[in-house]
Amino acid sequence: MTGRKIKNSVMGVLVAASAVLLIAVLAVIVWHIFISGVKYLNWNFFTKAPTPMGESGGGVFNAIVGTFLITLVAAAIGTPFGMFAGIYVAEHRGLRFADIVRLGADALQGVPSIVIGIFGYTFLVARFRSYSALSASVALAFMFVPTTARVTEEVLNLVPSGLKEAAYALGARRSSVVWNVGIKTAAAGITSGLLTSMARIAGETAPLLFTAFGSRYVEWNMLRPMSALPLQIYIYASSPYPALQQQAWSAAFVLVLLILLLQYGAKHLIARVLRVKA
Amino acid sequence: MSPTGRRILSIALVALIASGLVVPGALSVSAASTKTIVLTIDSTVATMAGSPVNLDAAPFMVSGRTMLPIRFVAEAVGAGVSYRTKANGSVSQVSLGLPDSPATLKTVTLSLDSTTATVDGQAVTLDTTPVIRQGRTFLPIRFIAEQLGAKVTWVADPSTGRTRTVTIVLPVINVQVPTQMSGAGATFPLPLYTKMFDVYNSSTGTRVNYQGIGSGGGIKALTDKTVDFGASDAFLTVAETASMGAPVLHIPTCVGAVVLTYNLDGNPTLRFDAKTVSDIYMGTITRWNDSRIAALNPGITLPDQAITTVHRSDGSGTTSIFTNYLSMAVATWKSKVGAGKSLSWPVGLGGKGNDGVAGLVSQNKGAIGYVELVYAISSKLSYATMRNSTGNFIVASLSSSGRAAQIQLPDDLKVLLMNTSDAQAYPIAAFTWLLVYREQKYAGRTLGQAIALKRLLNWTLTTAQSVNEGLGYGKLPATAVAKAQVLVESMTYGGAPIPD
Repeated sequence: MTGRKIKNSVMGVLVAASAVLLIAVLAVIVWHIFISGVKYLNWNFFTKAPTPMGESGGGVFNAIVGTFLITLVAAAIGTPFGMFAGIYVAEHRGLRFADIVRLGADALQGVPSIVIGIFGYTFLVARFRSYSALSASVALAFMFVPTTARVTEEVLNLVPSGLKEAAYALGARRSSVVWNVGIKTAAAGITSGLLTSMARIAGETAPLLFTAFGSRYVEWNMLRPMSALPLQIYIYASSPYPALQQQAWSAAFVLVLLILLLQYGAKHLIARVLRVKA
Repeated sequence: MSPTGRRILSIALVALIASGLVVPGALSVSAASTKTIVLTIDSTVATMAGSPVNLDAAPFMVSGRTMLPIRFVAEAVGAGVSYRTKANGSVSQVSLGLPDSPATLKTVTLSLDSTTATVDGQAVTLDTTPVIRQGRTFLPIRFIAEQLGAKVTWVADPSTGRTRTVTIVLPVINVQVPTQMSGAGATFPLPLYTKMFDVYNSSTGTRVNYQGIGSGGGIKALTDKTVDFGASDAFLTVAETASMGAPVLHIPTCVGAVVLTYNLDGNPTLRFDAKTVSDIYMGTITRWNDSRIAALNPGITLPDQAITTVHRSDGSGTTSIFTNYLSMAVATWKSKVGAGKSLSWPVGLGGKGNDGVAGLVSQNKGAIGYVELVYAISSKLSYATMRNSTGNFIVASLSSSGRAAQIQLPDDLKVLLMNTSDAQAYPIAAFTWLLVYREQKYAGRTLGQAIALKRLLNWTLTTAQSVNEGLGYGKLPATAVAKAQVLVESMTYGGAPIPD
């Protein structure tokens, strides 16, 4: 065998092994959480608020409600900002300011989530003298905006320039081209980007510790402290009661399931947008 | 402007105008209502709002003025009361916090045997002085009624011509007491607080949201005024007190204990004293069959095995209790290691949280660690019996940790309970406190929030104490409850005593 062939097969094995390892790590995590979590799942777990520590029964309905509300409101706040920033950058390619915006989005994406949490605490919680779900949503929106902006920009860049030029040639205004040609063509891609960003913020714990605060009650008011699944997992996992540690596993299972569903939805839509392009 | 743009603008304008029209209507105030109280002189039965009530002492007349017992006055008008006492314990001054609007209190201060009173700091002359009769303080009702804008009418007995009944028509002031509160701090009493507040919610409908973010976090949250109350296992340091900017009350809720747990074959129940524990944690006793451990444990075969000490790696109230104990009992520990929430340990491994310490102990044969009693009980760990300051070996339990507080307590209740002199007390015990500002009018807090907080604190000191022992926390002794209630009564809103 020639040296080139050996190199080829060695690299091939390495690449394949890494791919298998990636799948294996995911499988182990999901399997372990599934095994540890699924046996304590029951109807009460999804529909009841927690009982006092050390008592049996109770569930994480408060945290499920919290995760949905906080994530959806964060997405509602972050979507327009993220999308508009993405459109701006895509429409002004080559402009110096657009490069700065892109750089800013990348930098914001790299800010550790605990820093975002402290920011939320300092500027929202301490200022308004109250922990609240809304301050958590705003903090998470800061994580949501940069990812959304980058995804929007990238998907818009995939729209063939010929399409836009054709629209311009037909006398369309710029707003019409951006909306009817750009956004509508890239809609599925943008939606999948939004879902991926939502999946990312739904699993965040650090920003919530300082803002959402947590609550043992089912809370619907965004101006009050609220629980969320990652927070509840964090608290239960370090509690002295085996029943709560078990519930932490179940909550982890539910959270992972939720995030995987969002990711799957995103992947599915990405596949569709690529088919449309082809 | 395009037609679409104009349409949006006009919609926005209409919305703006409409909102301007709607808002003033929403601010309308409901009509004031009144409450009628009918008193009979020299009778302990009165009627309030049509139903009979019992007074703790009968009203009487002195030089044409009706005198009423203060407790009834406070109840009837929903006022807060605080007393100043002389050295011999008798009342010298009474302050009333009278609600004169749903958001404010009027401070009325009367001195015993003095015709000068103050209303919000302004001196007022009375025609009758407050008096003490049969150990109860009586106030002239006319003066109080005037301060509340109440109407008072007298009906004379036709046969004697003397006043027989007094009718007071009071304006009713409805203070909005919120049904939601939040607190944060110590993780050590977290199971206790979740249970207590669950009971509070089902009996009063008020939700108290407590989160165990650690004593340091609770102090920070109270300093930032983001919670109604903080909670801590260690009382405020001088620096922390200074950063608060206002006096903070320490209200104890329970007595907790820290126990030593270990991993040895056969799970023997070992006996320790402070010196031995100190030597183990300083690294001078390194093996389980050391003669100093054996001397305390006759009849137990100790293995020839190395000791691994485990401590908390995170800042913790538990560490503070444990190291304060060693500092109080062992001079060399105090000079070489000291006490605090986190310190530099001579030897050993660090674990995060009680669970981290317990985990390290269970994974290492020959390991020893310290955890909260509640944690040890719920996780079914074996723990050592400790020799207390009187030489008795005491098993950590609810009653033995509660005994630690059976000592002369200071009025502010900022006291360490380790190594106390009670013969039956477990020596590694401590109070855990709720922290509140004495003056409740700060950062936009309402009168209602102050009332809600005071009610909660009084409840934790009384009804809630029955929750403690079911969960592994020592009950407060009666002396501590009495002193804590005095602290709660000293809370003010705008300088006025807060109504119950």
